[in-house]
Amino acid sequence: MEMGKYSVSMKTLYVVVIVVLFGAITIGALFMVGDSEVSRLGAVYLERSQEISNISNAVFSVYGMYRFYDTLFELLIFSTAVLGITIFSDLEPSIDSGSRKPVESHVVSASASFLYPIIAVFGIYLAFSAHLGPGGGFAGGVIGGTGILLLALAKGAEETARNFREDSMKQLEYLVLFLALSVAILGALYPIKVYRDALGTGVITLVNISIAMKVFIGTWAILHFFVKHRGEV
Amino acid sequence: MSTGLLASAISVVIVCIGVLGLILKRNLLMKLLSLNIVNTATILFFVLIVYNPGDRAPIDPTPGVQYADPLPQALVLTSIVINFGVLALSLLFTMVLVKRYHTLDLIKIEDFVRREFEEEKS
Repeated sequence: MEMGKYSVSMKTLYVVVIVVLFGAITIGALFMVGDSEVSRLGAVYLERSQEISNISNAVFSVYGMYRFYDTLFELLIFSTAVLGITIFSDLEPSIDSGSRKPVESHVVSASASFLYPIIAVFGIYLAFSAHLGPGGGFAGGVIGGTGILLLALAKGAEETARNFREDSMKQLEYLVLFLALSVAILGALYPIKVYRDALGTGVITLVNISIAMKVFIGTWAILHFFVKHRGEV
Repeated sequence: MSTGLLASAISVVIVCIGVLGLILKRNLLMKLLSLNIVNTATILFFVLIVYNPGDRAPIDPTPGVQYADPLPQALVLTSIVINFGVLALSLLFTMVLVKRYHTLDLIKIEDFVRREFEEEKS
């Protein structure tokens, strides 16, 4: 019982510390929000992004140029998560779902084969036009992954995995990561030259497409792992 | 008190709720849910501290017009993707733990692990 009492009192201490800490943060935030100098953190990025004429989307100029290291390590964290899931996917026994369809509905299967090309084209469009308008590599990749989820719902996950050739996709994923890494090094050394003068829009599109492919493949790998170990979508 | 002020106070309160859930809940899935609540509240905070009615979307900026701040939008993107990765990986580890110990209770799992460790030592 001594042990139990001790842990309960420690827990109370933790709770008190957390509540006091977050109370202080709340009061700090209340002061911060009213201050227009502090709340407009990215005004300098907005000004600087006007220098580069072929990027209209200021959000892309932040995550694709000025803070590309953020994006790069975010991609690395994401691929580490996908790598961990892939390794455990081979170690753990999976439940065989056979060729059973998760949803026995003609409406779903008919509309999936009709809708999937539209969703895929929309995702690719968002990835290609990220520097011009709303969208971006992440949004495009997630939209493609959601489209695959629709296909898996209609046709079964195993058949979808067979159609998408998962093994070659995994190799493509690391190729894409390498591509983003090399562009990041180039862009960090010569930002204006790489993004505006010499290669311009080609490099920007390459970065966005590689981000979109990475997110798309990663989303599908994670989805397929959980489907395999649950037996159905 | 402006709307942004009140709403960011609310988002900090939601972070508080999530952290309390992380500490007090014994169920592993509830802990992951609390982590998700913290992440969502962080996104809410980022959205609200730059909320300014009348700002235009930061696309094709020209001088003299008030645009929304692009930096929090880019940070929120990072936050969403990392939360997705962390959640997927921790759900995987939860699955492995449940397969091995047949419980979601963290204190029971700790007891099992401690017992296994002592058996290995002796």
